[in-house]
Amino acid sequence: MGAAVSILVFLVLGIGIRKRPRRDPHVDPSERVKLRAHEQPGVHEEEQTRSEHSAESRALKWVLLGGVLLPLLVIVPLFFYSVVLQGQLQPEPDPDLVVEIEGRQWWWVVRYRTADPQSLVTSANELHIPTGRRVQLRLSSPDVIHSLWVPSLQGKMDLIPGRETVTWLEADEPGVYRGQCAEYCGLQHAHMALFVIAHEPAEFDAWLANERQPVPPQESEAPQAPTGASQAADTAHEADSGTHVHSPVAGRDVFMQKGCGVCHAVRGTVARGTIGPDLTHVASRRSLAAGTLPNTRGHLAAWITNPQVIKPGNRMPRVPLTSAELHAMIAWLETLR
Amino acid sequence: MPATDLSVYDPPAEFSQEEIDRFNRTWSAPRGIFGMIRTVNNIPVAQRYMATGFAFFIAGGFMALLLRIQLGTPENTFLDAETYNQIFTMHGTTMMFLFVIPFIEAFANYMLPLLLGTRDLPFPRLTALSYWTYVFGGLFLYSSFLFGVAPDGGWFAYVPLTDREHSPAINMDYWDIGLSVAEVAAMGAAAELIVAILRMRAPGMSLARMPLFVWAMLVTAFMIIFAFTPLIVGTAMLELDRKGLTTFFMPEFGGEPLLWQHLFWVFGHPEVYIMFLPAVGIVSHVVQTFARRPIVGYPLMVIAILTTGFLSFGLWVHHMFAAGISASATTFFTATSLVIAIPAGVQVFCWIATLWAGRPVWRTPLLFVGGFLAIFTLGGLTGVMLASVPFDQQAHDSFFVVAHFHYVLIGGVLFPLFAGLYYWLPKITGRLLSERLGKWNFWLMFIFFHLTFFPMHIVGLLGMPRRVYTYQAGLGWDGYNLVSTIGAMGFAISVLLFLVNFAWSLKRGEKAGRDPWQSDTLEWSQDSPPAQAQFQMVPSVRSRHPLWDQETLAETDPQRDRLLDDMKWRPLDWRGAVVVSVLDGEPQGIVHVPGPTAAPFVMSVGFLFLFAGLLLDNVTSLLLGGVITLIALVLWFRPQRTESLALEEIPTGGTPDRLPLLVGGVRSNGFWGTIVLLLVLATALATAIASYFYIGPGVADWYPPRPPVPGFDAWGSLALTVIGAAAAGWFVNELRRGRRPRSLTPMLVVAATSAAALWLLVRAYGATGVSAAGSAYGSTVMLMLGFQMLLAILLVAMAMTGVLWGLLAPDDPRGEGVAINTSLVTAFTLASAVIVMFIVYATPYLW
Amino acid sequence: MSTRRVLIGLLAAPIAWTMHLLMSYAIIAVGCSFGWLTGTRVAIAALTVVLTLAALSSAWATLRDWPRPIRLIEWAAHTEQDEPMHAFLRGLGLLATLVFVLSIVLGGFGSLMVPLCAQAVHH
Repeated sequence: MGAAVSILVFLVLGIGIRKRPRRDPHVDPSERVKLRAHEQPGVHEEEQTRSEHSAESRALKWVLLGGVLLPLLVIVPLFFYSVVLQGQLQPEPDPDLVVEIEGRQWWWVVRYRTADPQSLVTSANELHIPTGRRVQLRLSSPDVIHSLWVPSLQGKMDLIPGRETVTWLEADEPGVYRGQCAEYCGLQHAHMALFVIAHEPAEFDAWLANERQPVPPQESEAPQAPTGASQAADTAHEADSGTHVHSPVAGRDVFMQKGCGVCHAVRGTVARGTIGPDLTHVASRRSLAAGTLPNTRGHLAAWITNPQVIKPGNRMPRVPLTSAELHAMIAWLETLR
Repeated sequence: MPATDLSVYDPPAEFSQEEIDRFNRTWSAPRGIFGMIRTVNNIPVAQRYMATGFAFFIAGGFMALLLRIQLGTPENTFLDAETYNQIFTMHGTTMMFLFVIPFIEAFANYMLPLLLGTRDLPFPRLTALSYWTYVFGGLFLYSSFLFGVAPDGGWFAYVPLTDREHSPAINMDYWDIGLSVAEVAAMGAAAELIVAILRMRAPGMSLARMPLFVWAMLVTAFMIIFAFTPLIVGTAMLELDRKGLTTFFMPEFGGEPLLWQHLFWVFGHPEVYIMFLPAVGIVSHVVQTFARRPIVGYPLMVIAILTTGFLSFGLWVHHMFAAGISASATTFFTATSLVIAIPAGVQVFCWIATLWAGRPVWRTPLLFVGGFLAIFTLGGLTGVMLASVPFDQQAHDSFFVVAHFHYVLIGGVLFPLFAGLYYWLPKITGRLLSERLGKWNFWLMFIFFHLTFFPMHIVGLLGMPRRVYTYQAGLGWDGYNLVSTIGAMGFAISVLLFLVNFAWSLKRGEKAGRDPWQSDTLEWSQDSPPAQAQFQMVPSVRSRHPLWDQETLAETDPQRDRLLDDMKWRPLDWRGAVVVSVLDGEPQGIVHVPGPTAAPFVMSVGFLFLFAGLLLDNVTSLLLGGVITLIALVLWFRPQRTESLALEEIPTGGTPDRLPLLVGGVRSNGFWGTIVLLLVLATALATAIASYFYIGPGVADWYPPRPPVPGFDAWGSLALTVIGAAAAGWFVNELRRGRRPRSLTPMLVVAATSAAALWLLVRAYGATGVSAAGSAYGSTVMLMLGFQMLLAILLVAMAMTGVLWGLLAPDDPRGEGVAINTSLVTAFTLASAVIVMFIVYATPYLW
Repeated sequence: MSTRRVLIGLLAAPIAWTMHLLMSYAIIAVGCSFGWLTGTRVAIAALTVVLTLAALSSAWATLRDWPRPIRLIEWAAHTEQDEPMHAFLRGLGLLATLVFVLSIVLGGFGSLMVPLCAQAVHH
């Protein structure tokens, strides 16, 4: 429709352009079009005025047709179409699944509400949904305004501090859909992406069941609670000496001793932080730092080594680690599937 | 056709050369550096204004290039995130507040007196103040780059991102303060344009004969008043929040971040039309001249301009369709967003019909209009699409919207501005621009514009959000972004070509003469460039197209001609101009137009110290600024010699064959200026009330358990306001009955009661027991009472001026004028006091 | 016809539209905060009807006093420029009414076709 209207406009304009071009007006004043009756010898003044009026009336009819009727024919149906569509797109009162999404500078908290209201399954930067189901998203933000936008699945909805907004989405086909924060939210607004992963319903149920599981208890060589620098040094020493090369258990201890648990939670361990993403199943995610990097061993190492180089301004501090500590920690994180 | 006889502008033989020189000298702007800061004539000030505006355009364009270079390739490191965010914020802020609005107002400042057939604007000193304030405000804002703390919260500055917690550095303080300054300058210029258009037209120029650019500027100026006021109130609220004094927008204190969005967009959407309507005016003139015929459907154009002005205030929520506002409330805004297509359609078809019925000559100005029609139509279409909530929720804040509004703003504003420049610059510089370069300029700009912005539609629908400093490769966005970047380079070259053309024309351009295009409106009857003393003889208008239809610009009715005798190469020693009735343009009197003074410059220097003090919390700077501003006020309002001369020469009463000198009362410019001031104040009050109710009702425990009760202080301040208003009312009533009451006593009463009311209001705020820093409720109460305090301060200042006049020159009609204007403000203050008291003290019990 | 009546004819429709916009917004905000769903819908419908009639009545008053045969095209094409201001402004008022009535009707009835209140809630 848009193309048709613009072609029409150009067509009408084209007729005007084609018509009797004149020379430069400023070169010769005699080129002026005769406008008034008294300028045209031999034409009776009244008659001339009358014909001017009828020419003007004709032109005006075109103005009314093109400028009033045409827009009316477009906007009235468009209005009702838009309103009806808007009514249909409203959130369903009975969703199949409710997910809370919290926008943070600059990542997403994703919480799945389950049958037991006490137990929320917390994840980050990835939203898993069953196909063919209406999923209600309840949006909020503790810091600044963000906006959730998964272009293939849903229109934008803002996440506004102090209130909860609601949107919903539904995927027909299993697959991975990329979304991104659409409201400017500060320094790293560009690096605040989110992947929506649609599974067949049965597969989704299995996924959710797995996601709910905490990390299984593992035998520890050091106490889980961070008790002092000496132990961290011991662990590192052991790692260095090659007795436990990249042992996941050693990595967990490094994680705890370096204070990562202050910001991150890993369910099943003492790490209960809420400042950064929940890492209970971090290894199963597709990306790191809210879609900034693909989740590979190398990227994970780079990210932990210096998060401020990759995503300047984000809240994760640079924690000095020896190479052995780093590798141990990665080995552990990779077990968190 | 014999051209209109312009020999009326040759001085008649009965005037001696000495008299003519005296007349010209009276109107000439002072020379030299010191003269420059004293100049108030509209032409030199507007020239500087335009040059400054264009410089900001170049700066904003340069920033756009940096942004495009950064986005040209994925994961580019040309700019880091911080710099990118600062630059996109400043690009938007510059283009909106430091280029388009000031440039258009400057352009209108230059052209309006010429189009209206008058000698200057009604308040030349306000013009100068607007200019200096704008320059200093702009430089102030740009100085943030020197310290690497340029604003980085976006030109829309959404809270909470821009509040103290999330933007603790002074970046956004720069934005808040610098912007308020630019806004105040814009509003000063708007007040000026309103009074000029309503009152200072050539005799005979009825509303139905006003050129369309004048109509467009009239509506635009009103829109500036109504749209900028909420923004000024909003930025003040934001700055108070940032200073930790209030909590309007902080949810943890019951504040409401969405209120900011409302305040911003109730300005921001009309702003689009504030930029667009002047373009409508420019295009109409260019089409008329180059189609060689009057515009088809002049009244339809007028009504289209008027309805656009109104409807533009009912669109703002369509910037917030994704903010979770109830669906039923959004439909009103959808409806308006669509209905506004009707006036737009009427405008476009009026131009097309005119071109169609005329014989278009495709010179550069008309080419730019053609480009405008093509681009703007596309921008309008995407606009209609965005009016639909479901579509908008997809496209909102994506590059699709970036494409849309650049189509509207570059197509709808910049192309017409260039058309206007090619058309009117010969009037301003006296020389024609090169047609050849002009055509190159146009085609390059047209082609590269599409190359830059068309791909953005696609990349936006592919999911690329706005305001990202980089993006990952492989999302299908790379190619489109590269094309856009190449297009932007080409666009910059076309702007450069314009500058080359302009520079070339100054030296080598063909001399324009008075009327290079054989055009129809009054400005073409003046020299190019116009003399400082333009319209030495007041022209008489009997047509919409005086230079096409009238054989002479002289008055043909002998009786009216005699009325205007005092204005032919006269007055000799002071600047005089004619004012006319609003509807019919019948001459009503002569006004004194103030001459050169350094007061506006000094005052804006004072402002600069005030901003710096505010920015840095520096008390010394604040005090210094206050003192300088006060000095400037005295310089400004002290009695002038030329005004006394005017009073001696022309009686204020008038006689059947002589126009009166208007110094006060309903026909004086000061009175009309005061009316505009009241419109500003009323809008500010409405904004405060709306904020109070918007934050309030939805919040649980909004009102404290024991809401404020009016005590002695509150009732006392109301009683004092009533007494002041009664004294002023008595004075005006006496005047109406034809008596000549002394203004001293009523002005003393107003000054004293207002000062006392101010003190009581401060105490009343203390007695409410609320804390502005502790709750958003307290903040809104402070806003209401604070507004009333500001009114009291304004009244004290105005009434004290009246008292001085009453003491020093009791018989001077100028003092009477001051008293009348003060009386208007007392009436408003009383009404406002009743409303504010009701809201603060009664509504907690009604809810 | 007095200047005042001409101005009413010119401004009645835009003012009706402004009131419609602001009052509807307020009614929805208040109605939703108290949960009066039916009452709010009835109030909006009533407001829309009343303000549409108010705007139309000003147009009707203008038409009734129209001096010549009513032909808008003739009026707009009227290039004779000595017409009194009143006729010019009255014609403008008539045209404005059409646009604003359309806005009022679309907005008012459109809002009844979609869910009344947002699901957004304050914490």
